[in-house]
This record gives sequence, structure tokens and C-alpha cells, in this order.
Amino acid sequence: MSETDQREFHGEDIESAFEPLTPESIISFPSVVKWLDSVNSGKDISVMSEQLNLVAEFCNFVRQTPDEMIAKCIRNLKDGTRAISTKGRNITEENIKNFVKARAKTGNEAIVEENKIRGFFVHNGIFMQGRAAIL
Amino acid sequence: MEFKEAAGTRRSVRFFKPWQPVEREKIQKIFEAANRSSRSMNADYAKAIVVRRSELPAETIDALRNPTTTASLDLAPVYIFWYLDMDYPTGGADRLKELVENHVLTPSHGWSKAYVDEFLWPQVLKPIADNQMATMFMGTIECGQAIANALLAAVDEGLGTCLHAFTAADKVKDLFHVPDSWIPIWLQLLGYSAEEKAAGGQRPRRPLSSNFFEGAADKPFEEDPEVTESLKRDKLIQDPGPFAHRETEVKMLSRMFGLPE
Repeated sequence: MSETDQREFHGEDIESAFEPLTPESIISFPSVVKWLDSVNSGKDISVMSEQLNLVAEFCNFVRQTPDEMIAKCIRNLKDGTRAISTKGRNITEENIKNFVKARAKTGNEAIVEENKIRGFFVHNGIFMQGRAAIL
Repeated sequence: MEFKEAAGTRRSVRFFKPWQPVEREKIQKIFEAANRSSRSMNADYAKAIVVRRSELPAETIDALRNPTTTASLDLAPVYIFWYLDMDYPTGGADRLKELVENHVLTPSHGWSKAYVDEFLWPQVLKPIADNQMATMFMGTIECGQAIANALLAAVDEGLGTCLHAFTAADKVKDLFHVPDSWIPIWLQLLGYSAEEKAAGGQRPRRPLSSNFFEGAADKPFEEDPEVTESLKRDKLIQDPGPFAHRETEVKMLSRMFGLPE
């Protein structure tokens, strides 16, 4: 990813304004509500604690809120409709891989962790696929 | 497996057993079914290259990845790359005359070698061959028929299969020595299904009356309930999905392969 892409993706002013997020603080974001409702049908969210923790940490890694991360993967078209941003999705994919790499995860462990984060994007309508853990 | 059951059992399978190889004899049977497909001009529209995932360089598999195909590429042990050979009209006149000689295309229906040489080829088929859009239109339909046979043959052999978008064709082209006249159509993934055979039940389809008509396009084809019942017995019509346990099945499979739930 080029430096320009990174700047465009993250926004010039986000770094100074961003406050670290926790699993508890992200659950009220509409994108997180949508994710939990879709994957878990409104059941006990304690079963999602690992995923919530990961997504919160990922938010801190990219210095964006959950809603901002989803917004970066969407393009608003002139006709008022929305489309998935290929560029935004590619940058997100790269960020996911960098995040997991920074956590020193490798092999199947890395694949599983990456896919847990992808689940947040998938349930928000951002079509993406990760590798399968078959090593 | 009887034809009706094979047609009724076919699903787009997305979870394969990556550890279970596909026997070469089954691939031959799949290719033979494709080779027996209906085709105009008796032409060879469809070309296919089978490769095993275990024999492909990692960078080639990575090049094939796209947002819709990534996980299945890791799970399916066999890839079949389907192409349309845009050179299919070449030799068309000779093949048609061969069918005349074999009493397949007969005078009873107006066919003769003279018709092929003097009228059909110069006035009908040559103009199609010279028109790329027409060639493509006809070719994709005929390729589809071959691929449909291949899908059903895979089901008949007890395999799971699914068609996927075929990207990075340029990278594959050199590796597999693909001729310039071949254009990519579909990537068929093949393997033993990790899903149960019913794969959660038959997919929703609209009733015959919404797609098929009798006499006129505004006169829906009415089903005969007795025929419908016989098709259920023959397994062309199967229990509709989703089965009660389908969501759990998919979650468990996703967990097994480390995929998003």
C-alpha cells in the first residue's frame, strides 16, 4: 500500500483524535450491533468475547472506530447507491494481515485470527474471503 | 446414480475435504460426460485443463485468489480450468459433412454435402465465424452445456463441485501453455464434499409456472401433482433447505477450517 493510499484511508486528522477502544466500548457501534445480531441472532454475546476483543484491538491498530472501518470499504456513488470499494477492501485486507503479523501469529493460527476479524466485515456486507486453515 | 437423482442432488459445494484426493478415473468420467454434450456443428467449443492443488506452486494459487474464491481454493483438491476455444468454427464444414456421411444429418431434413459446401458454410457459418460477438455468444452457450454435463457427472461420481470466477487467467496461461484462442469461462472446483450429501437441503426454486409456459408466454405450465410426486420418489425433487441443522453444520465446518462464522 502506498503512503498516499494509507493517508487517504486513515485520514489526516484521525491520529490525533482517536481514543483507544475496548470490547465494551465498541458494542454500541451500529456496525458491531449489526455484526453480533447477524452472527449470533441476538443470543448471549459472551460467546463472541474473543472476536469482540480482536475487533477492538484491530480498531486500535488502524486507529479507526468500527463504523469508520466499514465506511472505508464502501463507496457512495453519484446515483445515491453504494458499492464496495475495491481499494478500501484491499487496504483492509492488508491491515488485517499486518495486524495479525504484529501479534506474532503464524500459520493456521494467523489464518484463524484473520478470519475472525473478517467476520466483522462480512456481516456488515463487505464481501471478502480469507484462506482456509488446512496446513 | 440415476439421472434424476444426480440432477436433484447437485449443489454448489463450498466445503471440501482437502485431505481426500480425487481418483483420476473419476476425472476421466467427468471429461467424457462433457465430451458427450450437445453441440452445434459438432464443434469442440469447450477445452479444460485439470490440475491438482498439491501440484500447483503456492504463488499460482495465490494469483487465483479473489474475494469470492479464496477459501474454496484451499479446500478443493482438484481445479478444472474451463475455456472456450474461439477457433471452434475451423473445420466446421468438414465435420458437418462427416455427419451427412454418417446419416446423422439426412436428406429427409434437407441436408446434403452440397448444401454444407455451397450454402451453409459461406452464407451462414462463415459470417458467424467472422463475427466475434456471435462466435462468443454461441460458444459460451455450447461450453455451458459441456460444463453442465461435467457437473452432473461429478455428482454421479459422489463428488462435490462448484463453479467459480476465473481470474488471473493471464498468469495461468503461461503456466499451462494455454493457446491464444482459448478464453477463460469457469473454474470448476472439485473434491469430496465436507458437507453432508444433501448440503442442507435442496435450494429454493420458483415453481415451474413462473418460468415455463404452455402455448403462450402468459399461460403458465401447470404441474400434474402425480408427476410431481413421482419426481419426489425419483429424487429429482428433494427435501427443501434449509434443514434445521444446516446453520450448525456450516458453523462447525467454518470452525474446522478457521473460516469466518
